[in-house]
This record gives sequence, C-alpha cells and structure tokens, in this order.
Amino acid sequence: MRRKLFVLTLLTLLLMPGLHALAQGGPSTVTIALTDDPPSGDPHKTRGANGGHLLFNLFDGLVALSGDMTAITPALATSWERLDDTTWKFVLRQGVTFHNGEPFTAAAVKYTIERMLDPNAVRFNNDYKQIGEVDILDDYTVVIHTRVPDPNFLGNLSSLHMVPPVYTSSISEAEFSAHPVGTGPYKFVEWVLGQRLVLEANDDYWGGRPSVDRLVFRPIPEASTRLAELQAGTVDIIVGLNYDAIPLVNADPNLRAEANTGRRTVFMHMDLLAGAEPLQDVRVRQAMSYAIDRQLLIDSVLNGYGTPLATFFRTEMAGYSPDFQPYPYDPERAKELLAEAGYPNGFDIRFMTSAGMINKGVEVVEAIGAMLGDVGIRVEVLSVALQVMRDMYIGNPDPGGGNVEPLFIFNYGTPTADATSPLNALIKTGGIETFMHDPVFDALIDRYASEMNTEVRNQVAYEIQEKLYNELPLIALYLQLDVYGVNERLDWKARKDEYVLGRDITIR
Amino acid sequence: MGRYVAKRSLQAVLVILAVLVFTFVILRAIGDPARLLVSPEGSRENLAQIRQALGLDVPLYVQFVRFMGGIVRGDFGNSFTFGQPALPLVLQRMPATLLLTFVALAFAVPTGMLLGLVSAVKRNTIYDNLATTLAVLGRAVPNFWLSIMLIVLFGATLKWLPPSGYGTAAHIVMPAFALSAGLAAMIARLTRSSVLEVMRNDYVRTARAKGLAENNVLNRHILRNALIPITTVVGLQAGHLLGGAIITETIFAWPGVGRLLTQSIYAYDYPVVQTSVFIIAVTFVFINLAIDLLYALIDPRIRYD
Amino acid sequence: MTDTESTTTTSATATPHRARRSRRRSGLLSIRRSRTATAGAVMLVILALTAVFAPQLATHEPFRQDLRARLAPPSWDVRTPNSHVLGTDQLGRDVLSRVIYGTRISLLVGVSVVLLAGTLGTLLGLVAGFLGGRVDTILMRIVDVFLAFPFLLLAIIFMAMLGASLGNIILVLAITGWVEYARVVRSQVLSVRELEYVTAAKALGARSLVIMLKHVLPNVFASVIVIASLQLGTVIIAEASLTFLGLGIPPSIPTWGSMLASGREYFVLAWWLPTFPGLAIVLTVLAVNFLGDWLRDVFDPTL
Repeated sequence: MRRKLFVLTLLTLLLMPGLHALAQGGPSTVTIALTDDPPSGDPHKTRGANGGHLLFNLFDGLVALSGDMTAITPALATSWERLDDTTWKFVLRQGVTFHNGEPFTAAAVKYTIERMLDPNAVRFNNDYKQIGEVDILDDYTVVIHTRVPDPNFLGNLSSLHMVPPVYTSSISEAEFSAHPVGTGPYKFVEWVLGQRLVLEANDDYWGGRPSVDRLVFRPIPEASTRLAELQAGTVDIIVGLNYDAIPLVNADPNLRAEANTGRRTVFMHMDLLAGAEPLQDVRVRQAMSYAIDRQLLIDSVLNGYGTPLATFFRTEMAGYSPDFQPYPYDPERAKELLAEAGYPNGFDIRFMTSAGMINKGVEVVEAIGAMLGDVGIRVEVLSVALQVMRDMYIGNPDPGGGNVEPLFIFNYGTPTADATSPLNALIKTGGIETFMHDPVFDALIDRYASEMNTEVRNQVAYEIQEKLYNELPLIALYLQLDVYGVNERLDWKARKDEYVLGRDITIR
Repeated sequence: MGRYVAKRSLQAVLVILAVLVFTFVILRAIGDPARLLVSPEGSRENLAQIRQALGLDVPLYVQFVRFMGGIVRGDFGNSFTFGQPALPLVLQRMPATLLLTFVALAFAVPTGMLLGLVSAVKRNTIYDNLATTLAVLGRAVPNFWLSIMLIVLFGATLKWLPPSGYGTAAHIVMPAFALSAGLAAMIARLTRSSVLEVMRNDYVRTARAKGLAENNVLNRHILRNALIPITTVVGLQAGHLLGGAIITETIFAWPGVGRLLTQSIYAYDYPVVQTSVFIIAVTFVFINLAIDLLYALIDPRIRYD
Repeated sequence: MTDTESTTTTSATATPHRARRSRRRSGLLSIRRSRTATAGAVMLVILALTAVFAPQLATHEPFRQDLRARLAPPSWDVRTPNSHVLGTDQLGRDVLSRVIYGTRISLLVGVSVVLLAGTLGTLLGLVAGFLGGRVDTILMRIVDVFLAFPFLLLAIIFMAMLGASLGNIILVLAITGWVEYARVVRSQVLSVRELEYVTAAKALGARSLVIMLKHVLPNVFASVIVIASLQLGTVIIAEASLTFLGLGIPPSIPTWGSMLASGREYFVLAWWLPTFPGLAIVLTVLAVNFLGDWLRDVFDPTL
C-alpha cells in the first residue's frame, strides 16, 4: 500500500510539467533560449547579444533603429532637428510613463545622459563621449550638444536607453540592475539567475501593447540542449542554431529556421606592430587573402549562411562602396606573391581561435589553415577558451610588446550602420583592439568620424575602404549570419541587430 | 577522541584558509577581469574606469587585506559581472546542487553496492561478468555523451521528460541519472574489490570456520570492512558533486553552483569565484572530516591518538 | 582481530582457496582461464598495434580536409576508390583514420597520466598512512586543499598560463589525479598496518621502508590497480571534457576525446561523428578494466 502511494506520488511529480502546460490556457507566453544570462539589467552597463535581449524589450531610446539597421525611426522623441553640426533639438513624446509610473519628460533625458557620462562610474559609454550639455527647453523639448560634430549621433542614440530619474537615483546600481525599470514594451517581472528572466507586456506602451503577454528568457549554454528544447516544444525560439542542423529543423513540420545577415563581420586580425615578420609584408597578407576560398568556406562549413566580404564595411554602412569586391580565390596568385615577398617555400605561423569567438570558430579556422597550407603557409591552429582570447587581445596593456599570437580570428558587430566604432577600435592607433600604427589611417578615421557632409564623408569612406582593401591590415572573410530555430506557432522574423524583441512576435 | 576532533577542526580551518589564499593569488595571475568586462566596442578609458570601480587599481596586498577584512564581516564583495553581492548569489545556487547531489547519490550508492556485491559473491560467473561489464560501461561512457543522448532520446524524441532546466521532479531525472551512472560504476568496482579482499582475510575465514551463517558473515564482517574504501570514495565524490557537477549542470542548464562557478571563472569574476571556492571548500573539508571520524566507527582497528 | 586459529584452516573452506591459489601460482598462464581478461588483453594488444601501425592502417591522411565531402555517411562501397568506411567529419576528414590516429594520442595521454598520478599518489598515501603523525597530517591537508579546489579552476589556470598543449593537458590531469590514490591507499594502509603480520614485522625490528615495501605495498596494490584501471578511462574522458569546456588539445590533433566533444552536436545530424570515437573509448576502458581485475588477483599475495 505504502509502495503504491509512493509510485503514485512519483508519477504525479513526473507528470507535473505536463499538467503545468495544460494549465497555461491563460496568458500567451513565448520562451526564448539564450546562451547565457544577460549580464545586467542596467542599460548603461551592458552590451552584447544576451544583454540586448533584455534591454531592447524593457527600454526605449529617443530614437530607434529599424530591424534591418538602415533607418532611424522615432521612439521617445517624435521628431528631431539638427540646428547646426553639434546641436540637436528633440521633441519628446507626451504621455509616456515609466513602468513604475514616473512620467517621461526632458528631465529623464538629461538625467540619463548625465548618468551615462558619469566619469566616476563604470559605463559602456564609448559611443556617447562626444555628447556634451543637455539643455531642457521645456518638459517635452530638449537640446543636446555634441562636443564635436558626430555624423552617427542619431544611430548611437538608438541604444542610449532612458531610465527614470527618481527611481534610479533612489536605489543602488546593483538594485537597479536586478530590478530594471524602463518605458519599453515589456515590464520586468522576475529574474532568477541561471534559470529565467520573465518580462510582461506593458499595457500602456506608447507604441501599442505587444500581442505576446509574457516573455521568458532561459539561459541554456549547450547548443544541443537548446535544439532539444526546441524539438520538444518547451522553448519557442532558440539562438545560435548550428548551421548543420538547419535542414533537420526545417524538416520538422512544427519548426523552422530563421536567419538574418547579422551584423558581425568575421576577419583575420594580425599583430602588425610586433607580430611574425612575414605578416609585416603587404604582399604576404594579399597572398593570404587570395589563398582563402571564401565561397567554399561559406558553402561548406557555414552551410551557405554567410556573405563574403571585401572589408569590414557592410553594405548598409555609411559610405560603403560596392567597388570593392571580396578577394577572389586564386592560389596561383597567392604563391606568386609569396615568392615575390621572399617566401617561395611559405612559412610557419600560429593562428589563434576560440569556439566562442565566431560561429564554428574552430572549424572555420581549421579550414582556413588548410587553405593557407595549400599555398605553403603552414598553420598551427591554437584553440583556446574565449576569455583567454579576450584577455589577450582586448585592451592589451602593451600592444606591440609581442605578447600576443600574431594571427587570430576576430569579429566585430557594430550596433549601428556606421564604421566609426570598428575603425576606432581596430585600426586607429591606441584603439582597444588595435595592433598597428598608421598615421594616414588615423587622419582618415578622424575625418570619417566627424564629417557631417554626406558626400565628403562617403569620399573619405571610399579612401578608407581602398586602403583597407589594398593593404589588408585585417583580412576580411565574411558576414556571419545569425540563425534561430523557431516554433511554427510564432510569426517572427530575425532582426539584423541580434535581438529577439517581443513586439516583433505574434502567435498564429 | 574529543581532542582529535578539536585538532582536526583546527586543521580544517587552516585548509580552508590555504584554499582562500591560493585562490586569491592564482586568480590574479590568470588575467584581467576588466578586459573581459569592457565592451569590445569600448575604449581604453572604459578599461581604466572599470578597473578602478572593481578595486583592481590598488596594489595586490591592499586588495588582499580588503578581501580578508570583508570575509570577517561576512562581505564577500560584489560580483563583477552581475554587480550583486557574491555570497547570496552563490548561496542561491546551493539548493539546486544539493538536490542533484542527493538524488544522484541516493541512486548510485545502493545500485553500485548491489552490483559490486553480486559480482564479488558470484565471482567469475556470468553474473560477475554482467555486473562488471555494466559497471565498466557506466564509467566508460563519457558523461556529456550520455547526457546528450538522454536529452535527444527522452527530451527531444520521446518527449517524456523536459530536456533541461529546473523546477519539477521531472527535471531532475536525467541529470541525476547521468551523474549517478559513473558514480554507481565506481562504487560497484570498489565494492567488488574490497569485498573480495575482505573475504580472503583471516577473520572472515575464521568466522566461516566457526560455522557462522553465510549471510551473517557477509553482513557482520565483509560488508562492514568493505565499507572503508567505499566511504572514502563516496565522500570524495559527494564533495566533488557539492562543488557542482560542472558538465552536467552546463548541459542540463541546471542552476547549481557548478554552473555559476564556470560562468564566473570564464568571466574572471573574482568575488564570485572566491565565494564559491570558499563555500565548496568548507563543505568539502567538513564532509571529509566527518568521514575520517566515521572510519573509527566502522573499523575499530583504526585508533586515533 | 587477533584470531590465531585462522592460519589453520578447516577443510570445508580451504578447498576453493587452494584451487584459486594454484591458479594464481601459474601466473601468466591463468589469464587463459578468465574469459574477460583474455578479451581485455586481446583488445589491448589490438589497440597497441593500432597505435604503432597507425600510418599503415589508416585509409586516409587524418589531417586531410575535403570541404566538398563533409559529413559523408559511412560507406562500405569498395568500388568507390575514395570511400570513407566510417564517414567523414565536419571538415571532410576521414573518421576511421582519425580514430586510428586518435589511439596514439588518447593512449599516450591516458597512460602518462595514470603512471604519473598513480606513482605519486600511491607513494604519498603509503607514506602518510604508514608513518602517521605529523607527516600524515600535513600530507592529508595538502590533499584536502587540492580536493577542495575546483578542478576547472585549476585546469583553466594551467591552460591559460602554460598554453594548450598535449604536455600541459597531461600535467593538469596528473596534478588533479594523484589525490584519489593517496586517499584510498592511506585509508587501506591504516587498516593494514594493524594486521598481525605487519605488527609482527614491526615487533621483529624490520625497518619502516622494508615493511612498507614488503608487507604494506602489496596489500594496497589491488586498490591501486582498480583505481588505475578506472582512471585510464576517466583520463581519456577528462581530456574530452576539457575540450568540451574549450580548454583542450589543439584541435587538429585527433584524439577520441576531442572528436567526441566536437561531434556532440551531431547525434542526430551525423551519428557517426560521436559514435565511433565514443565506441573506441568504451572498448578501451572495458579492456583495461577486465585486465585490471585479473592483475589484481595476480598481485594479491594474501591468497
């Protein structure tokens, strides 16, 4: 008898999730599997894909970026005007309240910008440092001054999220991060680290209440587990679907794969200050570029989900020129160039990668290694954990000190359709991931970053691309596509900016 | 005995201190957390800002004094990644890890001992071969391989169990089984060899010669003595599991200490790593102290002076 | 226990023991009597031969990629000149050839770690258990520090500081592997050293070292063999786990562990990727354990 009871109890416990699902007749819930917890709920302290899912659902900027990253659309500002090269006037949306009831007014804009630029606090404010004073004209009009002309000012503003001044200043930063309050289409409900982040539709959202009532984000680090969750129907959207699993997902009548051309450009980065001697010769770098069959790489390892690149300028970027096309695959030309450079028998080099740096980080680099091997460049692939690579290449205390592996795979995902950020970070002397020194580039980058005349700016961009293309301080490979697995019960298209936004989703 | 316990407890505290110091020093040797926290789109000024905010801009000994001073006050610092106090962050993960450990052990210990006993008593028969093969298989199948197979089979294909996560009894079945397979196998092998070893000992033969019933011999003499190495191993394993089954927790998205530790090590999140290591060390050291004392109870031949 | 009668066994229980004893006396010959040990030995010989003759056995060059023929399923079709018997991997490399070459690396890693860790751990365990007192205390507390310190942290630190290479993997695994031997050996010594023949030897004035080597070591050897045989498998798997965590051996070197780790997303997509290296691991561990059982009997002097 007792045993029977035990078995019964056990069965009930086992069936609980099933019963649970049955009981969920009420609010519509969409569950999204991420690779990890978002690091913070504080929009001024977090970046990257996992943080973005949280921020762009909870918060709004003055302006927004369209899903394809090409257009600036109104958000908390309904209109704006450039008074001169460094002065911008914004008319704010009226009747907007934060999730805690605080009204959104010009004071919030001023508070937010000053909080972001607080020199005594940790902020991801690199894109906003050109912002100067904020003048409040009235409750719904502000003027923002930039210290230098900034052609990408509006783009940058799209990810400067507005926070409520009274609430934010009354609690600690840690508390704000754990209980974020914004104006966005979703409100914060609950966040249990390692388990789930729950958001709830904001009934009063100025852009209309989103149709999905609840969003649940679950951190699931292992890709095969995420796929299993999708197949089991326990999760509706998964990020980072393995390219090779796309046919499998599409063959399931309940599932489909969604892809968008992402924003991450993948390239080979090099230490041109103190790296291996052969790399210092532009002919060797050209030979390497010719030796890589980008299309084959994409068609095979990436299952077709990638676009070959000439430079890290993506097609939608300010000043992109189609004149530059990806280096063709020409192993004979590569061998000639190597011979010209004095390496008729090639050379040995180490190539560092990490599975987490780009999609299929190890396979891609191994394949490139073999392609380089075909023209005589003998590559030893080093695969390390992502943090080892980040620690080595981001903010290196002594670039040029020869303390890094000379050749490494890297990616850059600009949050806007503008090249200022990657140029500053990768090419400009002193950039956070720069391993080169070229005054000509430095001057061009400064002009690109501050030229307000579009035509002139495009001309500068052309010169930059020409130089990037010919001198190859970075060897551009391809534009990485983000692939998601989606349950067919959802109408949803992947965005280019990597974020899964609840208001883009409807349940069929 | 009382003096022994006191002495061992003092030593335990020293061990924990050694672990803490070791962790503190070695963490600072592996890399710069600011470089992992800074946005790749950031700048060098951002980097300096972060370093200052995290208190990493002061000399090492100052950091150490602050760290030890904090511990005395029960303040383990704030997570670099999440900005929240580290101690609650770690303690919040303990229930999940405890639960997983307990269920895995509850399955592994009886199963393993039964298998081991069968193969020892029925030595060199088909039963022994079967039990041995089963036990070896448990160990030979890599944990993550088994875990993913379970998820694919029972989670994705048959849809009997939730593939991953935490919350209901159904969620624990697969991770606990995956964890216990290796454990049960290990216990089975050790039981077999210890039982065989004890069975050959003189006092067992004597007991048999005295005409004690076979069951009695098995219970009173053999199992009792065989328990020593088994306890050691189970203790070790329990300690390891309480430190979080890193791979199992990662694959099953189980929100335990192991997952948190992995995350924080990967992020060079010093406060969380230090706190987790501290908690793990405390648990581990005291479990082992308990086991050493248990020896005295199981095997009266061991004397403590 | 102070039973002196035990030396004169009665006929009732003596018979099976006598039979076993004679079997053991015949030493190596007795392996034929154990079917599992024979199977294990045969498997190990095959593995060793595979490792030695890998270049002759492999049907393809294990590093040779063919991006146009990636994820090709196993094909026994002998008419195709370039058929891949066990299929190809994500980069079009021949799985059979990689499994064959993997034997070399996996066995190298496994055997080196077991030898290093086993020797160190057994010695320290013996010393601690036999000498007791302060030596025991200090050694065991060092053991505790090692155990209380998370393996992953150690592994990451080592791999980050020294770089990911074959030698460093062996080092990391050995450094964390010796502890188990030390603990178990010590606890066994604690029991054994009180046995009458050891106390007798002590009483007769035998030197510690002699007692340890002659009387105590053989007694704990059985446990060591069991741990070692299990550890060989654990090590091969641990190497895979390190790769799983992104800390493993350089990717181009074929090891069963790394093949398994990188094939883990392909259970449904390309079953042959995780299956064959997995089988290689399982068979190897089985073989080692079967032999371990038998060795245990051979080395055991108490019968």
